[in-house]
Parts: sequence; structure tokens; C-alpha cells
Amino acid sequence: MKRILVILLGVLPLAASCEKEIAYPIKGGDRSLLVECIASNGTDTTFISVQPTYPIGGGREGAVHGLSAAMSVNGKERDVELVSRDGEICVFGVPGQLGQGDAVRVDAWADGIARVSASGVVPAALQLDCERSLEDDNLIRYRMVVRRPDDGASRHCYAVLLRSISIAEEAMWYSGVREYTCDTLEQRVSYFNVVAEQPYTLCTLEGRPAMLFEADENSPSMEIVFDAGYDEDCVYAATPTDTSIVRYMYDVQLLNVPPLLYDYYNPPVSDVLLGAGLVPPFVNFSNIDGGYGILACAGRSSTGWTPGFDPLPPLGQ
Amino acid sequence: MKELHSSLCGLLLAALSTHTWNLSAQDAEGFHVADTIPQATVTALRPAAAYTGLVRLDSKDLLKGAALFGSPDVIKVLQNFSGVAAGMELSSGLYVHGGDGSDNLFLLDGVPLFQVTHLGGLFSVFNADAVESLSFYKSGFPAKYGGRLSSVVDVSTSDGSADKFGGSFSIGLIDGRLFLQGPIVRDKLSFSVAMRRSWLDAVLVPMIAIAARQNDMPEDTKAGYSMFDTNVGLTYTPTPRDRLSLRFYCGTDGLHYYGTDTEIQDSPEGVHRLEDKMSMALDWGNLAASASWRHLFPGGAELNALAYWSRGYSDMTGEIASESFEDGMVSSQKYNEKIFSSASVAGFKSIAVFRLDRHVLNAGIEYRHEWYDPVRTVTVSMPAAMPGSVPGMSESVFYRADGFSMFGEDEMQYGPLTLSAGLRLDLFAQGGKVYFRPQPRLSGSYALSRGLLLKASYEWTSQFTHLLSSVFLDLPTNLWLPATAKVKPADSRQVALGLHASPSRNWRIDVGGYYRTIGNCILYSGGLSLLPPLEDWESVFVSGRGRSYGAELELGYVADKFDVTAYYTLSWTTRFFPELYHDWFFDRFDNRHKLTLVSTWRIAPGVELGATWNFHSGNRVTLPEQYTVNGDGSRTLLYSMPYNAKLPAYHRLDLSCSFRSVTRRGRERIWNISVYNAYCRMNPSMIMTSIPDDGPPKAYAYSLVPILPSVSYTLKF
Repeated sequence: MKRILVILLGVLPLAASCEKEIAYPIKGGDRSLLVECIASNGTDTTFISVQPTYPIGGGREGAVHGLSAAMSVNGKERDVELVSRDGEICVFGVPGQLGQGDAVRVDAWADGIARVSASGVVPAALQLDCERSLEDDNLIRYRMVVRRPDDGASRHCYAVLLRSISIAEEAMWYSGVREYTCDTLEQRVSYFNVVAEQPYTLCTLEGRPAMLFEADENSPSMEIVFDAGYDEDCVYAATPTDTSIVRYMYDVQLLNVPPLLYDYYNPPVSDVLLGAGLVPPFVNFSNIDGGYGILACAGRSSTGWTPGFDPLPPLGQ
Repeated sequence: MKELHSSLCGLLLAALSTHTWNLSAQDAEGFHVADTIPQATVTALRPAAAYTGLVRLDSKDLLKGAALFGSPDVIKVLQNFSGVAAGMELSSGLYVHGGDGSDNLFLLDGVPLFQVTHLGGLFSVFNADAVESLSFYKSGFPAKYGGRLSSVVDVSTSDGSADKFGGSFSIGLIDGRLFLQGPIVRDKLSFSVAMRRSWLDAVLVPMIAIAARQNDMPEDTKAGYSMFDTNVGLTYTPTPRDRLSLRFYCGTDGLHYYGTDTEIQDSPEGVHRLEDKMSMALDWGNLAASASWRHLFPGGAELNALAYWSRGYSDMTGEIASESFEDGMVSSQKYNEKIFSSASVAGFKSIAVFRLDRHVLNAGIEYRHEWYDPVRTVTVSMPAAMPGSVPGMSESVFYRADGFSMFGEDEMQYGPLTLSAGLRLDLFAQGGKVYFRPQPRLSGSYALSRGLLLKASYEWTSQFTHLLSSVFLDLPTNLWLPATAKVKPADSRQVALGLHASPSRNWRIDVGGYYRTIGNCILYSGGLSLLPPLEDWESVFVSGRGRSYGAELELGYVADKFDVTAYYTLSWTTRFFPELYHDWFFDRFDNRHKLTLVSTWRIAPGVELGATWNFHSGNRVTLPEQYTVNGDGSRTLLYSMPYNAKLPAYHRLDLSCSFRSVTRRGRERIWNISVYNAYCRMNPSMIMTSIPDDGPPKAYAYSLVPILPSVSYTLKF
């Protein structure tokens, strides 16, 4: 029905209308910054992504220099280091853990761009009830029950992140000495699929694929069921004396995120209908003062690193 | 020897106040009675110029001038006045003193209407042939009106002639009208019937087909629209003091769409023709009925009683059937959605009027029972491999509400000072929640000198019903729902001042200003979700405040053969919705300047030229201000503030020419040629932003309405 209404309200009038290029009605404007950060407990490093914006109506262009970020927790500054740079997107890492109730403030700036900032308080984490079962085609099915916190808020939203690591262990005999090596590599989760009927949004949080859900406020709890790709532990034996194995570990994290984060990744935008003034105004659901993006303070709970089904025992040294 | 022309006209001219003019023995001395008439009490109304925001129109005012497609429209005439924003091109929106279009009280013979427009606002439901008179209040609302915030449009339909049968027939480019009236029992019982039917469907079908073919849409795309409405009235005057009337209104609209996409799929098993079909049918309208009785008592008192019922409804059915080819098989899936909604009200009101020496007292009570009943059902049929239907969802809400109102108003006259002081008390109960709203109503005028009148008004108004609209058009997806415990009634406070001057017989000047605040106005926050959720609708609407102020100027010149009126408004309209934006922002119809020139030139006997020029600052839209470049090279548009851009200024010229003549049988016929948008100004209705991979961002304005000539023929008999 929505598709038909969009056709009647947008496509047909556009089809029958005259088009003319005009000067952009919004003139110039200063560049700003888009900042994205999830500040939560349960992690050793908090990441802050900063990138410059471009004014549509014309204005300053060109490369931006001096992109920087800062973070303070309970009024105390923390060290910030540049972790990666992809084009104009800079990711900063802030080592150190956060706890429930910590007041977090994030600032970002660049040469010639006004400083932007946001602040928030880390909420409590939720109790994580998670069961898993092995499905066909090497899929793990996770079934989580999330109980709505009794905090009096009108909306509750959750994010589910899935992490996977591979641990490659080798035990080799060199010159009569057995050498043992172990490499841990974070795997990119290549597949997961929400099975249950509740609507969800796929997004990227902390550089990882994540699912966003909004709780039904008429129900005290919510069940989240999803399938994720599963790799079995395997053994690579070169000789009877030299052995190498690869083991896989999985971690499911549940974040109690602010509704603003859910809205930020579910922007109700139709350029056609907004440009016609047909729908109520949309503004980026952003809490960055003076800029764009979001600082989401979240409570995080985790299953911890859990081995797969029929895990191989670790190689002894 | 003096002669008293004891005609009603003479009595009216003498009684420019609300006093009843009774001829006493002393007054009669020296007068020669030229004629006698049955005793009658004449009540003359205070002239509209004495009110800050009152406009009175009759059927002649509505039928003259340029009309869109040759079909005169009540609301489009009202849009010309100062203080009224017209909204979108071609629409019949009425945005009065910063209102949002859903806060106008439309009364048809005292009955409130829910659906007041046809075709998404292209025409109003008021058939100009049936309209006898119309009172339009922008401010200074009398205490007898309530339930809406911004304006009152009180339309009275024709009683029908009590002594002579007649009517008119009119045919235009997109609709035809028939009006019949006359006596059933001479001087006792009369009737009037007005019908209107469009044939826009015949015009639209080929236009849509051509547009679809040129724009890569399904070849067999069809869309059409039709509308019909009728007004029926019976008036019975058993005695000179009693008048009973029955009124019935029925208006319906129908919109349909159909399109099929075809894909040819080659496979080892053969060639398969896969079809995706979409269809939709919308029907909506309003039914209204009323019975009223007016009794005049000796001494000037009168009692009016009215029982009424009104129902606005919309039915929408949509179906999408798609076929796909998988695993060597053709499977089909069907999605069906139905939305029904209705809002009804039944009520009774009674108003008593008492006339004393310098006072006219109005007092009344009203009781209303309201029903709100929207339902949405979705059915999904699974592919053939999984036989059986899987029920989708069904949601409905049902509300009942009761409203009780009481008001009292005293209109006083002390020499040059006329003062009206009233109080309206509204009680609204829904779902265990009771809202009580006292609403003072004050208005007055002071005659500074002959032809110079100072006027002022102050009022509180409240609205207990909200129009839930996800799109700012009058569509069946819009739902009327009552105030609840979570969504409170809206309230407004307004003060207005004005100065009226008539320096000569030909000139009229009205200058005024207003300041208005609105509390608890609501706005849909669901964005692109065009169909608000029913069972949880209260959570997707945000509450905010509004503020509007401005100055108005009306300048009129009337001569024997030529008249022209200029309406100018300078206004600001802002909104504050903290859940959307942290500060006040301009509303979408914040047109800083609005100027309308309306002129008529009776160039020769039977030939009348009309011209209307409309200008207003552009409507506001929300456009992205910034963008970012993502890691994969894609771009994300960023919005910073609601309604941050203005469309280019709007202006257009409408021309009309009417040729009146008399047929051999003595019937008047009128040929009317109208041109809407005579110099074909392509006023932009929307703007789209485009950011090419290389080069600066661009904006494209889309205009919908070119020059639209029309012709209509009217025969009066």
C-alpha cells in the first residue's frame, strides 16, 4: 500500500510535472563534522569516528586538516590515539573501560571547522539470556530473551552485535624442540539473518554488522532469534608429530542503546516528499551539538567468547 | 407628507444595529402608510466591518470571478482574503492565522463536516449553487462556535423559493452542476436540490496513460478519479413565527489506480510470462443530515433548535500480486491491505436569543456523541509451494467520546461602542478522561467617527479532535481521532486589533493585526511511514506549540462598473516541537508576504471581465544542507533544521470573462471563459536535491500546473 501511495503522491506527479534546474535555495554554509561513537561498558577501547561534511549549497571545499577528537569521562580527559584513516574518515581509539553511570563527553574539531561535542551517561547493561542451537548448513541459531528495563522510559531499543575470532594453534618440532604458536584473528561475520518476525535494522556499529530492534512497549520482554554462520573447529595435521588446529570462538553482545540511535539508523527520509513539503519535517536524529552524527551511551552485556559445538581441545605446549 | 416604505428593505436600512425597529404611535405621526405587510420582526446583523475577522459572502460573491475549471469554489474564494495561507497549489487548504488546516470549523447548516474537500483538496464540498450565505470568522469568534482553533466557516444553504420554481444547469470542463428549487406548497413548503458530478476520470485516464508511457512506468497504468455530491433541503414555515427545515448532504469521491509490470523469463522448461500487478481503490466522503426549528417569540426573543448527524468515512483497498520464477516453478504472492475509517458525530443544540434595550443575549447548550472507528487489515498469501493464506495483521481502534457545551454571550451597544462579552464552557469525555475548557470570547468596536471604526477581539478556543495526517494532503489515510489521555486537546489564544475606514462611498480600508499562540498542536513524527500505526498512534505523534502574528491590509474600491480589492498580509508562523528540533522553526506555510488583487469590470451590459492575481512568498520545505562521503564513495545527505528552505515566490493570474444573455424563453444563460494561470507561470511545487558523482550538487524544481483554460455554460430557469 505504501508503494502505491508513493507512486500516486510522488511518481505520478513527477511524471506529469515540468522540471527545471534552479539555484540551490540554501546558500553556502560552513563545513561541519559528523561524529559517531558508541560509549559503553564491557569494552577496553571506545572508538570515535570523525569525518568532515560538505555544504550542498556551495561553500568551502577541499581537504580538511587537523581532524581531532577528545573524550572525557567524569570530567577527566582520556588519551586518544588515531587508529585508522580511510580517506577523510578518521577513527580514534580511547583506551580504558567505562562503567555504568559514567558521564562521557566527546569533542571533535578540525582546522577551520567549529568544535562539536556531545555528552551522555552510560546506562546499566541488560541481563542477557541467550541459548544457541546448531541448525543445518552450519548455522548457529541464537535465541535471546530481552527483558524490558523498568526505568520509566517510553521507548527501549536494543542492538545485537556478533563477533567471531579464529585461533590458529601450531605445535611443531624444530631441532628437537617443540615450538608452539597461537594466532588469534578477528573474523568478519559474513552472514546472519533474523528469523523472528519483529522488524529490525541492519547497520554497522564499531565497524561490525549489527542489528537494531525496538521493543514493543506493550510486552515486558522481547525474543530475538537469529541465525549466524558457523565454522567447525578443524585439525590440520602435517605429520604425525606436527599438528595445527583452528578453533573458532563466538561472542554475542546485547546493547541497551538510546532510541536516538535507532532513529539515527532508521531515518524516515524521502527526498521527494520532503522537498514537496508533503510530509512533516525530518531532521537528522543527532545529538552532536553543532554538528552531525551520534554519541550513543549504551549498556553492554555479552556471552563472552564461547567455543563452537564439539570444540577441539587446545594444543598443549 | 412623509411616506414610510414599510418594506422589509426599508426596515433593514434603518436598523443597522441589533435592535428591533418597532414603529410606535409617536413615530407613526406624520407618516402615510403606503402599504401593509404581515407583522414581522426584523433583526439586522451587525455589519461585518465591525468585527475584527468576519467576512460575509452570499451566493453572488461566490459565483463571480475566475474559477478553476469553470467551477466556483467556496474555499478558493476564502483563500484570497488576508490572513489566510492557501497552502499547496490547487488545494483547498485553509491555513488561517498560522493554523495547520485541520483546525477550521466547517458547518453546513449548523452541521460539522469531517471531509470538506474533493480530490485531495482540489475542490471543496460546498456547491456554490446551493450556498445562500457564508460567514467566515478569522478571529473574534462568537461564543456559539467551538471545537476548532483557527476559523469558522458557517455555510447556510438555500431554502428554496417559496413562490416560484426555478434553478440552473451548468456544465464545465470537468464537472456539471444542477440546481433546482421551488415551492411544494406555496409560501409554506419549499425545496432545494443541488447536485454536482465530475467527469475528471474521462480526462485523467488518457493523461495518466501518456505520462506513464513517457516515464518508464507499466504500459497499462490506469488511474482515474470521480466525485459526486448533493445537497437537499426542505423548508417548512407553518406560521410566520416558525421555520422548520430538513437538510441532507452526501458527497463521495473515488480514486483508483491499476498497473501491471510484465517480465519474460527464459528457462529450460520454456518461456514464462511473469506479472506484477498493483491496484488500489479509494472511496471517501461525508454524509450529513439535520433537522432544525426556529421559533420567534413576541418581543423579539427567538429559540433555535438543531438535531444533526454527520459521518466522514474513507475506504481504501490495495492489492499487490507478484510472480517469480524459482527452481523451475512459477510462484505467486499476493498482498492485500484494507483500511477503513470513519468519524461520526450526532448531536443536539439549542440557542435562545433575548433582546432587551441595549442588550442582545445569546445562550445555548449542545450535546454531541462522537464515534471514531479506523480499521486496517493486511492479508498475505504465500507462494504456491506453501499453500494456504497466512494472515498478516489486523489493527483497529474504536473510540467514543461525549461533548457537552454551554455558552452565554451579551452583545451591548452604548452609543458608538459595541461590546460583545461571552463565555463558552466545553466538557469533553473520552475513555475515562475528562477535559474541561472555559473559553472567554470578547470583541468590540468603537465608532470614532462616521466611517471610522476601531475594533478589537480576544478569544480562547479549544479543539478536542485531531486530524492524524502523515501527508499534508486531504487523503483517506488521514484519520480523525479524539483527544485521549495521552494526546491532549489543542488550545489557542488570539488577540486581534483592527481599524475600518470608509472615507467615501467608493473606498474601503481595513487595517489590522493579530497575535496568536497554540498549545498542544500535534505533528506526525513517523516520516516516510505514510500509514500511521493505528493501535499505537499516540506514540508517533509529537506535541508542540505554535506562534503566529501578522498585519493585514484590505483596500477596496467599488464603482458602478468596476471594483477592485487588494488583500495584503505580512505574517510570521513558527512552531516548536522539542522532539524534532531544539528551537522554534518556521512552519511550512510561513508565507512572509501575501498579496491578492481581485477585480471585476462590467465592461458592457451582459459582459463581465474578472481578474485575480495571487502572490505569496514561497512555501517552506526541508532540504539537506550538508552531505558526507562514505568509505565506499556513496554520499549521505544531512538535514539540520525543519523547513529550512523556501520555494521560489508564487504568483499567478486568473482571468475570466462572462457573457450573459437571455434566451428566447426568457431564461438567463451565461457563457464563462476562464484561464487559470494566464501567463503560465510554472510555480514550483517541490524541490529535489541531486548530487552527481562529479560536479556541484544541484536542485531541481518541479512544477505541476501550467495554463489551464476552461469554459462553462450555465442556464438559469
